Amino acid sequence: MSIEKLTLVNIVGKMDSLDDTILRCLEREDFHPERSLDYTGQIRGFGPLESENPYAGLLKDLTNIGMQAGFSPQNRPRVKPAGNGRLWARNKYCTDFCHTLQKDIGLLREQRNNLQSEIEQDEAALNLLSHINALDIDVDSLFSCQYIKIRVGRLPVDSYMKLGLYASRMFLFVPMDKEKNYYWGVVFTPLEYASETDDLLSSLYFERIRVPDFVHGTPEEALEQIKTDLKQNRESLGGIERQWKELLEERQKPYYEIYDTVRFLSESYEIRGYASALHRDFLDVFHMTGFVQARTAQAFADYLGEIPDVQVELLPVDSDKRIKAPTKLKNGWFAKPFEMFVEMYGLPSYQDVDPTPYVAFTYCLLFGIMFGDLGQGALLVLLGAALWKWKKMNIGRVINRVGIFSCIFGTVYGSVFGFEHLLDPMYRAMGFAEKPIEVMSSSITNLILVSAVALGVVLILISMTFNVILAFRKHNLERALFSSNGLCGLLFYGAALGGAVSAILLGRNLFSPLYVIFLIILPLLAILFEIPLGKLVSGTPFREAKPEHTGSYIMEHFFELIEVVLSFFSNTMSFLRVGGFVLSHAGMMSVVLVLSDMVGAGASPVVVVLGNLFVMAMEGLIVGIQVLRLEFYEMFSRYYDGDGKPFVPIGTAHE
Amino acid sequence: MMGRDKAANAVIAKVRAMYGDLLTFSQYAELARKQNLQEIAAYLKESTPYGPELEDVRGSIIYRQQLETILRRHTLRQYARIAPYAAGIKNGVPAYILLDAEIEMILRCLKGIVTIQQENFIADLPAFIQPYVGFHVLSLANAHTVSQLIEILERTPYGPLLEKCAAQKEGPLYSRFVQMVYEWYFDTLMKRANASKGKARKDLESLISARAEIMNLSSVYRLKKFYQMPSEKIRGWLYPYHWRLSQKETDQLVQAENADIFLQRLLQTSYGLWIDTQELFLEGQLNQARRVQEEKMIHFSTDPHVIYTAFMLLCHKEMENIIRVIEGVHYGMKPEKIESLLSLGKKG
Repeated sequence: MSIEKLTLVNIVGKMDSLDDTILRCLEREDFHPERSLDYTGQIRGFGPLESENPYAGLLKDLTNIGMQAGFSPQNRPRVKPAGNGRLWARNKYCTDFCHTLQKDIGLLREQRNNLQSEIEQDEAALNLLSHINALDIDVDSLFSCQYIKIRVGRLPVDSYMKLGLYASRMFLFVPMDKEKNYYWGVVFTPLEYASETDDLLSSLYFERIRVPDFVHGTPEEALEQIKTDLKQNRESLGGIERQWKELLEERQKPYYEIYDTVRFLSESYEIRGYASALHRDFLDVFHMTGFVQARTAQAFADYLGEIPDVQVELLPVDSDKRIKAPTKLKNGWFAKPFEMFVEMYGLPSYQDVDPTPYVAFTYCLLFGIMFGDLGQGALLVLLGAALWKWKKMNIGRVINRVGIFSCIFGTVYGSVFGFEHLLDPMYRAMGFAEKPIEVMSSSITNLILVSAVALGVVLILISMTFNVILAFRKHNLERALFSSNGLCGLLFYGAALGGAVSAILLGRNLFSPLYVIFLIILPLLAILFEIPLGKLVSGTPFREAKPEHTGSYIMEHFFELIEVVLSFFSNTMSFLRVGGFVLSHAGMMSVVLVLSDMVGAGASPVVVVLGNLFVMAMEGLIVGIQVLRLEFYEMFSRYYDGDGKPFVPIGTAHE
Repeated sequence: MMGRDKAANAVIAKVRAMYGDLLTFSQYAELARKQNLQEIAAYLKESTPYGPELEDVRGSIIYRQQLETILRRHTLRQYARIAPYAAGIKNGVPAYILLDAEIEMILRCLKGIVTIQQENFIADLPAFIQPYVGFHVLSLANAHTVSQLIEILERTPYGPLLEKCAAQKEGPLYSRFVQMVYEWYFDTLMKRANASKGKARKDLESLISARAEIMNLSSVYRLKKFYQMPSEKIRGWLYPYHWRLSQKETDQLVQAENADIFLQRLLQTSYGLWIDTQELFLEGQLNQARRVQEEKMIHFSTDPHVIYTAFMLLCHKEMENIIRVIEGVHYGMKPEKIESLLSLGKKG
């Protein structure tokens, strides 16, 4: 349960050695650079290292052209190119390749856009004719009026509603048909107002459909002519698409080779941005600062120290209070995959405690309890291992770990692929009369539910204790002592539950006046006055610490207090779902077995297999989500902030 | 207040599912590399959840303003899809989107009256919004004087506000009204947030304060940069809400002698993380800080009002992002420059 120890590193050297220094940092892949404070001008004489990245322009062009062509350079894993990339990138070949690809793509794109516009125009004309088909008039005569100009097209519904605002204008829109978002219609306007009307219609997004010149005769005849034209255009578009595809196939390999090299060079150059420089007549030095892992710090310093005129200084991580140290989680085989859940919420800060092992254990424990089945658990173990091995999916490792706990609890419940008595001989051999937990027995249902709540109480108490400890470590006394998840909350919750359990299970009433006053009422009052009390213990004078308007403060926070008390109750009850899923899993598997009994002997194994797969997929997913919910809302929210920043070492040859 | 009922859980699940439909990094990257509006519209239609909204739009002749109207309509529909299931939403913080739309229309109308260019405003009036707002939208086009506008708005809170504003004579009417209406806006939202309790209330207050604070910072920067306005005057333009900055830090920023010193001081605050002085687009960069907060609330809050509000704010950012892409492509900006102007979070 730890966060990797880091060391602060200062690297100073002659400017001539900067490139070598950066290359060595890239090679090692364990240096997390920080923008040094001298970069911002806080150390006299030092300033940012200003130089233009010679590869940036080419990389941008390559990325843009590649994406326009249909490649996916942005999703490509980073690879270190073979050979001396720098020399290679200077070769004119890269630039020429880029220009040729751009030209070829541009040409095809233009042809494609033109054809698409024509197709759209044809389709719109077809659509138009289908709407004015009912008119049964000659298309030529419609457009050859001498004093009236006619426009046909469609108007957005939104604009149609505004036509009333233009009642005084010299045009008439006659709707013929209505679609979801458009009115189809004809606009009549006197010849001398045609231009003004066109401007106005344009501002209302009227889409004028121009009937192609070759269209003549009745709408039926026109329809046929447009269909022929449309077919030809579609065939031409198909040809262009084929050419495009062939071009991509042909250029893909050289494109990615060039792209990888230029990106490597460009990103290496960008690292210079972390350095600051001091230029004087007889002095030209750079300075870089950052973090490395403490266990590799000396090796890092020795390796960089080999470069002439470069000095590496190793310092304790907190030696410069102005730089916030990044966080690198360090966990073992079991907990490592659960770092994903912690990162999802936010990394702990360097001074905090890494909650991953706690998350890993509680996640597996709760999952195992809710999804206890030896056979299905074993399958999860194998499935998880396979997903990780072949697909490198981190969730595979999570599935693998929770599968182990599923097996353990499956053994306790005596459940193997839904068969509840397969393990009975084993229990008898161990000296039990029968299996210890019969989930489907009505006599044990209450015990399962109460145990689930009890487990929830324990987890909540542990989370609150964490919160108190962490708040003390951060010297946040208000949070440690008076918050609802602080010491007062812990006292109230523990006392209320302890009293209730004692009264119900032992028949002993603990709620004496002293018990109620000191362990229930006083902690609640402290939570009510959390803010002023917090200020007081932090040394703020009483005059400043007390609320400005005491009455409204009490009113406001009293209702919040009620909510806090209710949420203690509801959060505890939230763990009932753990017991609920124990029962629902057994219930669903018994349904599978009943169904397998109902079908013939031949189909029975098929039903059992399919039923098991269905329950695993559906319930496994639901239980996984429910446990994550419990982790985030019932536990994390009580003690965890997640305000750290990640340790990101430079190095382009990863993935 | 919605309370923890079944509908609340359904709303949370639905909103999170809709959050999954927001555009991703790679979709923005592809959009930024389109050559013209036609290609942008086609991409949105074929490869994004905007497809149904653009279903019968003809890409080859779509107008920029028309596409923007469709994007706005989409954002409003996102709100309307959830609203019927979320109790108390009409008077809750998530309905801020309706207040935004109302205020925007009124301000445009008022600007049209002041500049005597009312007719230009008609085409852009979003008639589709009528069912959601408290005044007759198209009537705004008939308002040619401030008193006519007051009459149209008389049954809404904006009427009395405008009347009060018109009665004052100091400074330009439009600027006075902008200040007054946003003061009322933030005050109203804070009152709505107060209807929630505990963490939900704090989260809602934080979402509202964040918006006010970033409006304040942008105003201070602009007033210093372009108008060289003295600090005392600037103070009168600020809304009294704080998110990441204390009153003391805000005062120090306001007192900065000029825009450069303001920026230097801002870099020393917690906003420093988000500001890139090489590619300065202050409002956008400050909004990145808000975006992180909103995404965190979508993931980890359990209150439907908080999640709903955060989602609507993200929807609004998505709309602004697409509009920026359209403008960038229109003005022939390089794709990476366009990308630098976008507000992108975990998803995009």
